[in-house]
Amino acid sequence: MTRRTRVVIATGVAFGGVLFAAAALGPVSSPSSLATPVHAVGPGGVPARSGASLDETIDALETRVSVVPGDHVAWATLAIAYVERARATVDPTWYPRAEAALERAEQLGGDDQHLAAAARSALAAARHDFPAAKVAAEHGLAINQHSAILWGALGDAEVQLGDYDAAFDAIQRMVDLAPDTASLARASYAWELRGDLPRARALMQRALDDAPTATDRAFALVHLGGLWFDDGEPAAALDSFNRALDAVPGDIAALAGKARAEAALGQIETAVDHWYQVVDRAPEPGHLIEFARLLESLGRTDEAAAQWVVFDATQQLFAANGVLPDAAATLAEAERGRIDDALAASAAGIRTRPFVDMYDARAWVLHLAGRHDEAMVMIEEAMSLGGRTARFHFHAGMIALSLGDTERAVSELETALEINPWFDPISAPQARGVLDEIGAGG
Amino acid sequence: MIGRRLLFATAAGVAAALLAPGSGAAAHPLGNFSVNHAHALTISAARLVDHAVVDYAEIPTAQRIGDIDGDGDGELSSIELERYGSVQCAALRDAMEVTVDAVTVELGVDSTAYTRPEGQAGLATGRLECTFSADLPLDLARSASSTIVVADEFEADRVGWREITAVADGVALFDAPVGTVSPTDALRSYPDDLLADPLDVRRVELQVGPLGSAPAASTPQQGAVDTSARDASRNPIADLVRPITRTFDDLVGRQRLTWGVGVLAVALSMVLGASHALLPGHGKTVMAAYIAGRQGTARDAVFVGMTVTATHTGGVLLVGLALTTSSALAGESVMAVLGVVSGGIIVALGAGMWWSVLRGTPDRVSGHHHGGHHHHGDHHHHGGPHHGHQHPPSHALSEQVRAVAAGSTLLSTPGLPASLAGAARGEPVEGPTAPDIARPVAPRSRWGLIGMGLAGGLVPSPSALVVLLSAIALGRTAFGVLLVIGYGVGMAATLTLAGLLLVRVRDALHDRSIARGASHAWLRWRRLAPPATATLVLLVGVGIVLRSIPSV
Repeated sequence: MTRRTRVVIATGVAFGGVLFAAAALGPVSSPSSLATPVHAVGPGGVPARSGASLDETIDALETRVSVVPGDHVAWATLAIAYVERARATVDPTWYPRAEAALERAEQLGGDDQHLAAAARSALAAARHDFPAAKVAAEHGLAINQHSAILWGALGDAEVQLGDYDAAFDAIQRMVDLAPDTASLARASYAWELRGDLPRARALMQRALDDAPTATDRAFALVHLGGLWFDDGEPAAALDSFNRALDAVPGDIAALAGKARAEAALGQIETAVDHWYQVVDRAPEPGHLIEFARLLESLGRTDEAAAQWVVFDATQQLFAANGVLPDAAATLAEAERGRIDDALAASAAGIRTRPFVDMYDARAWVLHLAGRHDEAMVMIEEAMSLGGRTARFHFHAGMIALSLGDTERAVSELETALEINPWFDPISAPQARGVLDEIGAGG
Repeated sequence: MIGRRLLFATAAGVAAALLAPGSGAAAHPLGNFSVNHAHALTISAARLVDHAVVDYAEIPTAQRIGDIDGDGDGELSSIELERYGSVQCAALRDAMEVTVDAVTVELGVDSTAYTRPEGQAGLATGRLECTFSADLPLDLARSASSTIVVADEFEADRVGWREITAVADGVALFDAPVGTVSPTDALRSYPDDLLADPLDVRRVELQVGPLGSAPAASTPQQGAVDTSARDASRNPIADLVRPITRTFDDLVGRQRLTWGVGVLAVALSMVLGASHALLPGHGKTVMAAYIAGRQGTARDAVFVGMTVTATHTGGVLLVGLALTTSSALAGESVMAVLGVVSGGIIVALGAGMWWSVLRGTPDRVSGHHHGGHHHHGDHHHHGGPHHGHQHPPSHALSEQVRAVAAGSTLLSTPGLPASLAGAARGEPVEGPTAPDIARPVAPRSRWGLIGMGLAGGLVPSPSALVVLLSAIALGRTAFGVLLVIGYGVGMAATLTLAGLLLVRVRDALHDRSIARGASHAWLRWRRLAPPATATLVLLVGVGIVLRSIPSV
């Protein structure tokens, strides 16, 4: 029976190392595989061609590296899989392990580092270090320009760095090389950023249709749900999130989306219950902010305060680790009156991450600081890509109002509510209030 | 909706930063979200004591501030901490399951404490310490061996390190699956090997009895019992091969390949090939059937052994190289096609045998060599001629079908897990080979020999494939090819030796039966065996083809 066990292990070894990494992800050693179609990269870059679940893939790769510790390809693939698992489970525990696996891959890899570069890029992006993510992806592409996963990593970094043309080119290359869930989802996102929601939805639907595993299905369904919600369709969104939860019970992103949609549909108690489940299992800043704002909008300030305490703890840990807050955290700090911190964070954010969300955050912080002219420049920048984002229009409207441009304010606020009447539990009612006031006054 | 925009690049990434390396105190290996558990059990004759510790990392600690701060003044007084400690210990106790011989034991709470040691970034962590104890329903020092189960379901859905240790005091602990000493000093310092799997022991089952009552006093080991070691003892060959395989894997995986290592690896691959050939499948059945039949000679044994080996080695090389150079090629269809061909050859052999039967080829029924009755004949075949259902042939059938199924399920999905499952499911189980299938009417021509060799060697053995693929994965294709050839040479040696041995045994038996004279039952069997065995071979072939076709 050990023979069996051995064969099992060794088979895992073989397929982990070869089918996944070599044949699936691109050439490793033999020039003949250069012509290999690269079509096996899941959402986070994990090979998904086999239909093997992420857990199974990770198990197999772990077995592989324990049997053949010198296999740098397996180590690099494992690092990517850990990053992917962190993303899928919202469990940051896996990042240090990804880092450790990546270091092994880099020590062992010699000249052939394109997979390690992909892992390095994914990790850097996870830590919000997008310049480093870009450098790593470009380094990998210099070794192997036929790697879909690397084009995806480059696209992700370029989006955050605000070079949208380069980003969309990279994503196009990825789709050409591997028209699968991972690349189609990114393509969908590229259209969403430019405001073409129907097209974004159609591509995400294709990503869903092609999804080989339950994890991939949930991934696509969560994004589909997000697209419906942002388009002001909470019922369709809820349906999508429920389907995602059917695919992967307990999926955190799906549960958060479900809670958001339920709140929009007026199912407040259920929504709060689900939010509690989310922040209990995955108390990450984005979730805490959104839940705290919902609780505040409901007048449940004590409960909201408890969420803010946890949020502050996360931010303290960020600061201790030298990580700048992202756009959402910057916005939250500003809303809570910490204008100076938010000004410094958003200025730094624009330097390191000139993404539309960061311009939007900078605009709102400047507005709250009373610097409405600068704020208007920033919000114009955020909207220059053409994205139909209700929050941007709300911010633009409020800034225009402060500048005395009532006509623009009305138009922007109406647009925000037209795109999504439920875009934020505090801001959306505020927009309505302002419109009523202007209507009453005019 | 803010978070969603980040999903592609960052998602959980926000939290990734919480674990950025180079941070001051890397207190929790499982991150600032984790809730970690430790139970230190002490079992004495009549009492069970559990020192339980729950270590909350920074974020869950912050999440609990509201629960602790009873009066809501924002300050956590020592009274509030004390009260929180007792509440949480009670909750932990309620989430535990303790049984002695399946009888639930209620734990009492002896002491509780909740403290807030400083963690990262000036934030507090939470440390809950509880002592539980219970009187046992029976006296372990006097009764026979008992089973104590301790399980912890507290905060089960939180990420965390979970350890249980157990020491015995005045009683004996048999084969304890957990250690006696906490590897983390009761959750104060965690191991820093990030790639080691974190301990996740949520439940322990302990065998306890009076001192000196068991043959072996316990030598507690960390972690779960190694089940594979237990399985291994069932197969002596595999048991012998295991250390060789391990050494071999190490050699192949080495970073630097020296001449010495290379030669050693090739030598080991020959040993592995030789031992692999001792396991069922790979044409030994067919070959043995032939040799044990009337006409096989020592030369035929060598010939079939070589054919099987050549076919097998070539098949491994072709399949392995094809799989690595084309991702469009699905492993399962290749294996299925090979399975169909292999089955087809067996069908053809069976048909040929039937043809001989129908023609009544005299030398096949009455040739003087058929006395080579295998000793099976005496026991299994005396009941008469209607033996289509007999054990040896039907076993052989299922073995062959399984062997081929092994090949196809092995690759049925290029994904690892399925292939793992396939290999586990499909690798033929060791059992008596059944030479009886083809014995009395074994085809005698060279084509028959080649056919048997082909059918036996066509579906690549997983382990040889693995040798090749792992070498390719390491960028050592040529080395891998060399190893597979070594593997094949090893197989050839075993198969040929086995064949020669069979020829010897057969001849010896034949001489004895001639001397004794053939029994009546034996003569009847001899007359009816050809159609029966021809049918069986046909069925085997058809079965293999049918099993392979769905996945083509």
